[in-house]
Amino acid sequence: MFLPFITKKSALFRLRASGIVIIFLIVLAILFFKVVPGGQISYTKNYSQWLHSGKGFIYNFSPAERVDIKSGRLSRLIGDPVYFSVFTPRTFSKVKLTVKYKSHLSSSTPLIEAGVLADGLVWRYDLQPLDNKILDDLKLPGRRLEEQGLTLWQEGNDYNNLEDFFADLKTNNLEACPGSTASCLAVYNYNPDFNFQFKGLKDSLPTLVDIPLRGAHTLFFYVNNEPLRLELKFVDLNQDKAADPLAIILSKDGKVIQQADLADENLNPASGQEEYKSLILEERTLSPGLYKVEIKISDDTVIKSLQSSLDRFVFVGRVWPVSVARSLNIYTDSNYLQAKAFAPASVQDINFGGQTFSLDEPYKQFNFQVDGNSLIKEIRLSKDDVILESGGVFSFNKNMVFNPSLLKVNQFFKLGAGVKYILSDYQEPSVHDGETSASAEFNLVGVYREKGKYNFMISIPGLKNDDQVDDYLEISEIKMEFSGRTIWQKLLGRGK
Amino acid sequence: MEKLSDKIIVREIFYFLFLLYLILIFLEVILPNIVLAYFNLNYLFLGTLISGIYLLIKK
Repeated sequence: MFLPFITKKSALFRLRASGIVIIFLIVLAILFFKVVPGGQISYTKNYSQWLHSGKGFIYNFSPAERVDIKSGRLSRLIGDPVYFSVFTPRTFSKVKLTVKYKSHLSSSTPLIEAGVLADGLVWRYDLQPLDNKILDDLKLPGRRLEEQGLTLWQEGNDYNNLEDFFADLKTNNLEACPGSTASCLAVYNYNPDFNFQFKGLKDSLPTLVDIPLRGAHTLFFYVNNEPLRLELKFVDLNQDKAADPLAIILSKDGKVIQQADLADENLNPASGQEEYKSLILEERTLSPGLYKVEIKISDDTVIKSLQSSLDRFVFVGRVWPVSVARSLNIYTDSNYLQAKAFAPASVQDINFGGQTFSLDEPYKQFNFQVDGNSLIKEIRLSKDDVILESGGVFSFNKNMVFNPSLLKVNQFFKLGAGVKYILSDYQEPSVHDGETSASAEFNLVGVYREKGKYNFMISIPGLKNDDQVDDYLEISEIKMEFSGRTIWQKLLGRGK
Repeated sequence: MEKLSDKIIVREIFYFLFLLYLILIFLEVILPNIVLAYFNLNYLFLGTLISGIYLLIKK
């Protein structure tokens, strides 16, 4: 019956055959875009277009209260940070993010950064600069040096090339400030090979921190030819369904030296039944220097106590004391503090650097700044369950505050105060017809990926949606250029 | 050359759209998001529906 239909090649046959060929080509095209055989593809979201053929690869910004889509034709970012996810049909190793925008930001928000969610457990984003107005407008009288993407601004004409600068930096002997690099060099998006020296080194004593701390914390230890032993006791609160693995990672200059892990069998998820766990990390042969200890736990876990063989340590960037049931004194080297009460009962007046600030709303982040000249500022909390963050370090011991990091060119940076050099890995964005185009590149190997999506954020530190100031960033386009292994590299097991 | 009637052409369009719709739904189920990211299947459903209703009316 079908044979004559085929052999005759009637008009109906030709019509049906062409239909099947079209369907076959469509399926082939879909599979091509699924596999991306060349290893390179780009996805674009144009915010001025209202008609879309599909739902696209770049998803909308969230949370909704930090984005204004009603006031103008384009999406306006009015709060910080703003998140978006990108669906990719396969994994890639790199992405170049290009954001086109019009800035209506004030001078108090000079930074625009973008980041990819690198670690889903501790919610850590790998941030890269999009725009830094402080560096764009920076005017230092000395010669500006640019080599291999790095830029050095200098107050005098001390260096003619970056090679000489790095040689002096390594020996802590910069021309304008011999022996005191930390006070005269500021950096942005770059961590140079800088050998931190601990001042006033004494014998270290065993220390117990018995203030419960919730969630992930990072510490810097200064070791001087002595063993390091850390014993941490944890409480798994089991308030959410997710498993809560524990990890302590000891590293130096980005290289992992030792790691202690404890998986969570998750037998009582969301039951509210507390589970007690402990982990020990011990390393006997450590060369003198600075070490980083990352305590990677979820926010459903509390560090009940931290017993250390050394007392030379500080918490970096963030502390979250909980269940202390008494007033707390914490010390920091930072002039600013970001504080968030995590429960209505934690609302209070905070004393920071001798000044009183009101933390009068729960779940809202407050920024406090002091101009005091003292190097160490005291934070007095009358109640716990407050997340404290700053660009500096925190310690529960006033005599043990040290910051091994160089000064950062962030929104609180002020030129002066002895800064003679600024070193950055940053390219100024281009501007065409009033529209700025800024790019950042991210390594995607090993980053967090869920349901085929990478998670990104755009951060404008200091931008608030509830401060009655009409400042915003108007996004017109986001372009993501992904690159990864070609199909041949994948089949032959080459590349990343 | 043999000429096809409008009714047959619409019928063949309906078959084509319906088959394409089924295949794309199948692809979307086994490879989530790969079709919907590029193309909203509702447009295809609408085309299938219109051609199907036309056929029913002509019958």
